[in-house]
Amino acid sequence: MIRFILSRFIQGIIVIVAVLSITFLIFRLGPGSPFASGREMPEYVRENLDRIYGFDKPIIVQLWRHLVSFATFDLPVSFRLKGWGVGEIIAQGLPVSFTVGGAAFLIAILLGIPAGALAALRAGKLRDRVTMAAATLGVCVPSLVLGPVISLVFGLKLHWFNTAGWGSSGDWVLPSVTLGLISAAAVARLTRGGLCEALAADHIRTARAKGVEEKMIVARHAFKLACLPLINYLGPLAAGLMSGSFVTETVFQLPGLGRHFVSSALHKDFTLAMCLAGLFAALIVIFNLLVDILQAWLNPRIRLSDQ
Amino acid sequence: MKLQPRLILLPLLAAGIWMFHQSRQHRLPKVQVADENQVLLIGNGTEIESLDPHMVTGQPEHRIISAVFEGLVAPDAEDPDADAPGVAESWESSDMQHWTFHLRKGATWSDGTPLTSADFLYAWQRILSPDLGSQYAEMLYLLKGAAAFNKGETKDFSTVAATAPDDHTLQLTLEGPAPYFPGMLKHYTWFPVPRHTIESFGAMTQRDTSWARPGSLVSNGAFTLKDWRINHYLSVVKNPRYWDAERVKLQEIQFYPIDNGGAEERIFLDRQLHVTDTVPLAKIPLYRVQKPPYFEQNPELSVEFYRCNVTRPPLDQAKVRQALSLALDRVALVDQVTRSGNQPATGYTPPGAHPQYPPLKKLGFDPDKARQLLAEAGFAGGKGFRKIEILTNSSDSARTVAEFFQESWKKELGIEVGILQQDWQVYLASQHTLKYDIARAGWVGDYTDPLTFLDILRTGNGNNDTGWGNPEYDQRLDASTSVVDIPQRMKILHDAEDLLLDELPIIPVYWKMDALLIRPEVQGWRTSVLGHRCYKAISLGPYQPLTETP
Repeated sequence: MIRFILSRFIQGIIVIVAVLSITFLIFRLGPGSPFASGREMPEYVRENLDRIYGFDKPIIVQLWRHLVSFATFDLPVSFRLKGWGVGEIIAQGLPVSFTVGGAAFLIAILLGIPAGALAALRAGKLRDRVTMAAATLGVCVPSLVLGPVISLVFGLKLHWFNTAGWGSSGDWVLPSVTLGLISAAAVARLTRGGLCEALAADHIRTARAKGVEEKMIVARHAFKLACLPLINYLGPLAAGLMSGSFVTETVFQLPGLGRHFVSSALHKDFTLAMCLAGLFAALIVIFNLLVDILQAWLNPRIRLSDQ
Repeated sequence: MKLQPRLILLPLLAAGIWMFHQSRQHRLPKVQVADENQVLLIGNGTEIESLDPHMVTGQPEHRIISAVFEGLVAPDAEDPDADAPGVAESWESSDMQHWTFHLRKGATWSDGTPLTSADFLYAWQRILSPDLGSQYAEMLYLLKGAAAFNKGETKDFSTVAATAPDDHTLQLTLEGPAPYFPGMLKHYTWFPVPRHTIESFGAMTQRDTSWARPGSLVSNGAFTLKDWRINHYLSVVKNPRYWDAERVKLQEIQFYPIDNGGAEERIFLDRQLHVTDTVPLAKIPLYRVQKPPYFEQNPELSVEFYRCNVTRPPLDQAKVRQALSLALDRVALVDQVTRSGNQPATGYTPPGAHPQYPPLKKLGFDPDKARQLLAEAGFAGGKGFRKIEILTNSSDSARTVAEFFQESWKKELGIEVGILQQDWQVYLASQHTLKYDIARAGWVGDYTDPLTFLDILRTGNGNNDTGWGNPEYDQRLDASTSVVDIPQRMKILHDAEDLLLDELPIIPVYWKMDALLIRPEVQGWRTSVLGHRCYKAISLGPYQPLTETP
């Protein structure tokens, strides 16, 4: 177990370094400059800026410098938000994205799993069809549409919550519901599929033949097996939700990380983009590790090994 | 579930929702609480890059920096485009070239440190220092010797013609007479910065220090910085040490960086903002029809135009560029496509640049003449004309206008046009390196004088980006800077613009209108073509519900 975690840890570091390097190279080798603005600057000012930020050095030297600064947690400054370190910017956005993403994750699980399970138990019946139709709709409706609709209905019309903004106690509700509903739809479909397959398995038939109560069959035997594909999905889902969603954050004007992902790319603010990409990679690594451990615990046939 | 528990549960659930609905619906609106406390809530577009006046170039920054800092001259309360005393009590100039400013005694920074003429000299030295790499230092080039110092031709700041004979006097010599000079001083590039704070964080020209952040920023304006959460809000509170603090009625201003027009409109209608930064483009036509009292539109000193890359044939021929311009029905574009109340451009410099500079009426829609000119250029009916591409940034509205151009040029001239959209930074770089045929662009005036527009098309100007240059045009602009007589000067500038519109390295399209939503309780809010605001004149009356929601 410890060997497994250690090997995953080393793999994770390699992944993060690779992500940082690729992000850096895409930004630095692509067209555009972090200093470009609607007003052109004189050439000598540009040369000065290049010198100050080391852009006059070979690209490999620049990459090495940035990797060292990330490795030593001496995080660089943002190019766009002048005077702010990228660490400070992320520290401000992270709690917002974690709160909204965490709540959305819980909504997705608490709504998606029971809905999927109920549909699976009534497979082919009306309840199954209605639930799956709703889930298909949920998967298809983008947050760009659902967000403004939820904001209009529960914010502007009913005045239950603020339409957008951050700071009041209930401001996490509407964005979390938006993200949660969309993810719940996918969770429900996966749960139904997994459970339907598990209920048709040989050992379930044997259990039924032995006269085990249906509730026990579902709860003790089928559900564990049905969870395996779902858990695979939940790892990246958690990482995605926790690192913020650009669309939802824009619709609800949340000061989370999602908006930084896009604005750093648009403004060629590559230090911030690298830090965000590194953070996202770290979250994926961590959640995938948790998924592996959880799966081994649920299914003894999976053995954790570094082979 | 059995029938009986359902019968009990359903009414309970309904009652719960109803109670929740009642309790939530009767919350006090955010603006009402703010009205009572004189806290102004403003939408401010994109997140600002910094509060260091030497590190920024944008309008959102301008609106906050002018609340926390003040220059020698300040916006007037009744007409923010007019000049009122700021740190300078008075100023004089006999020839519009040599200026003397008398600073008010007793002016201080927000931490109580006296504010003297040395602070201004320090600020100008800092922004002009090549080591700082300020992108807006060019705004000071009017000052004699400033350009040479900024370009590193000399390291001696005393060569810049700005001196302080004493703590309360500044004497400035300009490159030539500039009657519009006091107005220019309302721009943040001319504002003082606190030497004692900046140098406690590093050297004068060190970038990326955190002196301009909450807790450390010391300023001299009507407000001081209280809090700044990125992408969330920035709040400034009344500065009790401001020289005119008695007149300041607002206790606090909160600026919200809302870069999505739809979200901003919803937030305004949800009673969380007093004033928005914009109105969603798609909604402006509706608002223009319904005319609710909280919708406002005002002219901006801003022009939308299309650059022609004159280094690429066939756009190197003036006749081709004239044909392209004549084939555009700007009135139809403005009335039927953009529908935002913008004015079709008949010249380049927008109205409002100067009272004695009426806009030229030279551009119009004449497809027959356009076809004739194209034929004279050797492309009768568009034959032999290579396919050209219009470059825009990646916004839907830019694409819509480009599609109108594409359609017009195909229909009237028979030429094939493609559209290329690029991300903002790439789009800027493509223009600067002349990697385009025709590119969407715009320019916002920095001061109320036609020169703020005409100057960028000088040969080799960093913002020219067309490859075009004409010695006669440059000569006319040069001549205008040595003339004091205003009508004569305006005549020279008119002649220069006339020449520009003959050659058309840029195709002006429309003059922009600004649109915003503003609550009825906001008092003392005045419009400005340059986006100046006199915050000390603004106050909040008692809360009033919005009427006529469209």
